[in-house]
Amino acid sequence: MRNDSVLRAVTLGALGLVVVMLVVVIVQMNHLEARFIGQEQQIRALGEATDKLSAGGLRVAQAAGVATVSDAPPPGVKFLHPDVPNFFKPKGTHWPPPGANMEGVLVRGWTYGDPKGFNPLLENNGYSVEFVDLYVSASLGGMNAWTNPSDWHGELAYRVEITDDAKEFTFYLRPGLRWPAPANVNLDDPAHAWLKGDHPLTADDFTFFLEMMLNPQVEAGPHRNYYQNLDSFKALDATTLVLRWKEKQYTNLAQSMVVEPLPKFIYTRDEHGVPFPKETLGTNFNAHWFNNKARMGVGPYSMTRYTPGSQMVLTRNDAFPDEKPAIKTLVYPIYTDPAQTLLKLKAHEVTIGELSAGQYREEILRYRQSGHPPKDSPFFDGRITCETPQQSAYRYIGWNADRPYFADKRVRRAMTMAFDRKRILENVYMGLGTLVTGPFPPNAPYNDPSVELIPYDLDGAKKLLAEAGWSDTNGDGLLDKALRPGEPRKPFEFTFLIPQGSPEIPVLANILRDDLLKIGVKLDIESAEWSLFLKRMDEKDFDAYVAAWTVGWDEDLFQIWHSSQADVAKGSNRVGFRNKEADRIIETLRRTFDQGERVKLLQAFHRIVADEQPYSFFSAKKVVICHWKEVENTLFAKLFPNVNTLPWSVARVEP
Amino acid sequence: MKAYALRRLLLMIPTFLGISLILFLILNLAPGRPGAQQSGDLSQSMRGEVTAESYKIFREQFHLDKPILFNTRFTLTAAEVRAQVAAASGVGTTTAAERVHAQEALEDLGGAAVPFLVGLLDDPEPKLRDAATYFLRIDAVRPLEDPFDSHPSASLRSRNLAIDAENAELRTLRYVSDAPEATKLAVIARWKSWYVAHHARFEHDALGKLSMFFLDTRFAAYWRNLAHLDFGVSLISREPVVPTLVSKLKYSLTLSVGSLVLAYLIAIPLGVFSAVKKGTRADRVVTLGLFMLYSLPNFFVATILLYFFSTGSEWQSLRSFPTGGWSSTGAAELTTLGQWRDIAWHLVLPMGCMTYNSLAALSRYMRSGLLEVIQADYVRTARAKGLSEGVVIGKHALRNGLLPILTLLAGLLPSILGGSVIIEYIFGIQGLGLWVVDSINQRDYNVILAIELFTTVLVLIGLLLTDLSYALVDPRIRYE
Repeated sequence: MRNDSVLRAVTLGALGLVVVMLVVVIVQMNHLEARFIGQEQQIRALGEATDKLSAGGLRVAQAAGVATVSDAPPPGVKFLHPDVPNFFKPKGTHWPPPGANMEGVLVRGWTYGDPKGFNPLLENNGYSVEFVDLYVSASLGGMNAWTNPSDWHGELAYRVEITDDAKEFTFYLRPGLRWPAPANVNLDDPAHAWLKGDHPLTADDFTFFLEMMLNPQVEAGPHRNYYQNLDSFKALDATTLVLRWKEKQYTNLAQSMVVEPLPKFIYTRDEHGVPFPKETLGTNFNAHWFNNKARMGVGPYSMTRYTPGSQMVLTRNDAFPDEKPAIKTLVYPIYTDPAQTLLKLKAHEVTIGELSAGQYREEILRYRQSGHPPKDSPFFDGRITCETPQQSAYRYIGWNADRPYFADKRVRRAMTMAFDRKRILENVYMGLGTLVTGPFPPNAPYNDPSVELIPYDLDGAKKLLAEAGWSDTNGDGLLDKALRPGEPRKPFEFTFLIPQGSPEIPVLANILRDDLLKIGVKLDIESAEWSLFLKRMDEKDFDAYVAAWTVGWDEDLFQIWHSSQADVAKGSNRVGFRNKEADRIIETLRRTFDQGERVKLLQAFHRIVADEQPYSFFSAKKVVICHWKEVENTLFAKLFPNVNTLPWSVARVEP
Repeated sequence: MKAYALRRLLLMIPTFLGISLILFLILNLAPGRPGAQQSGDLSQSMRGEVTAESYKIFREQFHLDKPILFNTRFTLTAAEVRAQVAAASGVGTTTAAERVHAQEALEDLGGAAVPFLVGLLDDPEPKLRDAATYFLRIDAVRPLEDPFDSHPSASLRSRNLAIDAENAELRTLRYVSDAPEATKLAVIARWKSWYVAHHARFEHDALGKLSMFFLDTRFAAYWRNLAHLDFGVSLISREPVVPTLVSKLKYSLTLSVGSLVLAYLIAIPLGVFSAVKKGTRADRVVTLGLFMLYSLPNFFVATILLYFFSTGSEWQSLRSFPTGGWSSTGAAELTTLGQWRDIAWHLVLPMGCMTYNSLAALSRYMRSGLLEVIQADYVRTARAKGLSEGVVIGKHALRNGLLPILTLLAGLLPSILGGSVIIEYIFGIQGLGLWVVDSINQRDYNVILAIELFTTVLVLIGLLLTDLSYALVDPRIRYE
C-alpha cells in the first residue's frame, strides 16, 4: 500500500518534470527562432542598404531612360524610321513626389476571394485581377491616366513609330528589362532549378503573348476578337517589335499599346521544365501549372507573395527602368465580405478601403447632417479621410427597342421623364454619382455639355405617351394601345429585370414603379441572380433592365452601339439601338486619328443617343475611398481612380 | 454484428451511386452556366466567332458539349439540323433566345452534325449555306488526343500533329458573308472534297452507336475519371480539385473540430450540473441561458461580436480581437509559436460563434442521459455502499451517462467537412463552406460534385457508425 503511493508520487513527479522541461525547450526554441528571424531581417535590411548605395548607378540609368524619349537613338540601336517622330508623349504625371517616404506600406482589402487564375489571356482571370495587372505588368505603352488618357506614354517601350497610314507600329523596348523571380514557387526545390537564374525580357516575350492569344486552342476568345485586324507581328531583334495591321483603324492604336509580355521561359514548359510539344502547347497553356501561382509581369511592382486564402503582396520592382513609385509594398489581405472593409479600416488593419453607399450614410453623412459626430470616430478626428472620385462607369436603364412597347423613341423619352434620377441619386445612392445625359464620363471632352438633362416630369411623360398612341380607353387606370394594327388594345404593362446583389437597385425599381403607376404604366419587377441575368441579356429576353456599363477612355463604339450588333446573338447591343447616322459616325471614328476631329464626332454621337434614349442614362458612378492620414498625395486617375496609386505615398507611421 | 456491418458497407455502394446520379442530374439541369461570377457592372467583352470557338474548346474539355445521360445524336436527321441552322442564322422568324439556343446546340453537336452540315452546302437558301460553313468550321475541328501527356510517344505526337494540321487547314476554309460568289463556291468545294476524304470518321456501326448511347455522355465521362479517383480540375481556376480541397480542409477542420471539442468540454459539465441540480433554480437559469443562446442566430452574433470586440470596435476598451481572417498580414515574420498564437487569436470569435449554438442541445442530451442513469439500480447501490456523491456521479454514473452524446458524434461527421458557410463568410476564412457557395454561384460543377460526393461518403459512414455505436453502447440493441 505504502509502496504503491510512493511509486505513484515518483511517476507523477517524473511526468511533471518532463512537462516542465518540454515547456522550457519550447520556450527556448521559440526564442532561438525569434533571434533567427530578427537576424534574417537585419541581413535583408543590410542588403537593401547596399543596393541603395549602389543605386547611384541606377538613378543614372533612369535618367538615361527618360532621355531616350527624345528622338536620338541610344548607342547600338538604329531606328527603322528615324524621320518619323516618336508617337509617345512624355508622361503627364510623375512620381515619386519629392521628399516622400520611399518605404511606405499600403494595405488594401481584396474582397473577391482567392483569384481564379493569373494568366492574363484566359477568361477565368476575372476582372478583379486587372487591379494588380497595372502594377505588376506594364505593357508597351500606357495612357496618361491622370491628365489626358488620349495621350500615350512609353512603358516597356520608349519609342514607337507609326507608319504606313497607321498600319505599321514599330516599338523599341527599353534596354535591360528582366523578369523578376516567380513568386509562390519554391525555387529551392530541385524540380524548379530550371526556373532559377537571370531571364531577360525580350521582344520574343511580346510575340509569344500574341502567338498564344491567336492560338485557336487557347481559350482567349474575347481577347482574340480584338486582334482580328492584326496582320502580322515580328521581333526584329531582342528590343525591336513590329506589329502590322490589315486596315487603318483607330483601335489599332490601343490594341498595339496594350500588348504585354508573357514569360515564354515559363509558359512553354511544364512544371519540371520539359518543353511542351508545339501541337499541344495551346491546350497545355489553358491548364498551365503556373496559371494559379502568381501574376508574372514586368512593371513598377512585382508580385512577391501570394498565400491562397490569406494575402497577396506586391513589392516595388527596383530593377524596373522607369520612375519608382514611393509606396514600397502593397499588401492585399484576402477576404470575401465587403462589409468587413469598414471594420478593418477602423481597426487600421487596412490603410485604404472603399465604403458602400450604406456605410457612407451610416458612418459619415448621418453625422455631417446632424453636425454632431461621435467623439472618437476616426472619420471625424482627422485620422481617416474619405474622398469620392469619379469612376469610369455609368448606371442606366436599358429599354428593349425590339419589343413593341419601347420601339417608339417618344415612349423611351417618357420613361426617362418618369425616372426621378435626381431624387434616387441623392437619397438612394447617397449622392455618389453625377447625373449624365449620355454614355461618356462627365470629365471626358467627348461629353457634349450642351445636351440638357431630360427633366423629371410626369405630366410631360403622359403627354408624350399620348402622342405615341397610349391612352386609357377602358378606364382601368392603365394606358392601352393596339400594339399592331388590327390587334386588340393591350395595357402598358412590362417586366423590369434587375440583378440581385445590390441593395440600392430594388429601391430604385420601386420608386420607378410608383412613378410609372401614376401615369398609367404598370411595371413588374423581376429579379434574377447574376448568371441568369447575363443569360437573359444574351438572349435579349427582357423588356427593360437596369445595370451599369464599365467603360474605358474613348473606346470603340462599334460593339455596343452599331446597328449590325443588334442582330448578333449574345451581342452587346442588347437594347436594339439602330440609327443610320450613329452607324456612320461609328464607322468614321474607326478611321479618324485626329483628336480634335474625334471629339467633334463623339459629341455628335452623344447628341444622337441623348435624342434616341435607347437607355435612360442615369449617373456616372462615384466611389467612396477612405484612407488613413499617412496616405498622402492621393491623386485620382481619370480611369479606375480607386485602383491606381502609383503617384501616391505613405508616410512613416510611428508604432 | 460483423455480417451486419459488411452488409451495410456493401449497401453503401448502390446508395452512393444513386446519390451521385441525382446530384449530377440536379447540377447539370440547373439553369445558368459555368463562368466567372462578377456581380454588378457589365463590362464590354466582344463576342463573335472566335469567342464561340474558344467557348467550344472549354465545353469540350469538360464534356459540357455532350448530352447528360444518354447520347442519341446518331438519330439526328438532316431536317433537324437544317431547322437548327435556319434558327441560328435567322432565316424565318426567330427570337434572339431561339437563335442563341440553336447556335449553342449546333456548336455542341460536334462531329454528329458534320454530315448534315455538308449536306446543307448545296442548299438553295444562301444564308443557310453560309451558316453551314460557319458551323462546319467549329464542328469539324477535332480535339487533340491526350494533350496533357507530358512524355508523348512518337505515334501520339504524329497523330496530334496530323490533327493539329488538319484543324489549322479547316479553320482557313471560310469566307465573309459579302464575299464574291466565286470565292464562296471555291471554299464550299474544298469542304466537300474534305468530307469525301474523311466521311468514314462520321459513320458508326451498331456497336459504335450503342457505346455512343451510353458512353459518350457527361455522366460516363465523369465516372470514367472518378473510377480512378480523378475528381478533375475546377472549371474556373483549372486547379485540380482534390489538392485545393485538402488545402481548404485545414481551415474548416480547425474551426469545426475545435468548436466541436469546445462544445463537448463545456456541454458535459453543464449537463452534469443540470442533472445533479435537477429542478432547482440553478438548473432553470442554466437551461434558460442555453436556450437563449440557442435561439440567437450565429450570423447575428458574429456581426455583433465583431462590432464590439474586434479591433475596429467603437469602444476603445473592448478592442481585443482581429476583424477576421486566418492570420495577421505580418504572420510570416513570426516564430512558429507566435504564428500559432496569432491563428488562435484569430479563431476566438469564429470558434465561439460556432460553439455556443450547439451547447444547448448537447448539454440537454447530457442531462437527460445522466438523469436516466442516476435512477438506475446500480447507482442506488453505489450510494447505499456509502460512496460520496462525487464518486457516485463522477465514477459510476457519468461513464454510462456519456454514451448517448458520444454516439451523437458520429452523426456530426459530415458537418466537419461542410464547414460553416456563414461564419467563414463573415470572418473571411477561405474554408470549404465558402468554396462551395462560390462554386455554386459560378456553376463550377467539378468542385461542387467533389465536395458533395465527399460529404455523401461521410454521411454514409456517419450513419453506419451511429447505428453500430448504438449496439456497442446498449447491449439490448442487436443487429443480426
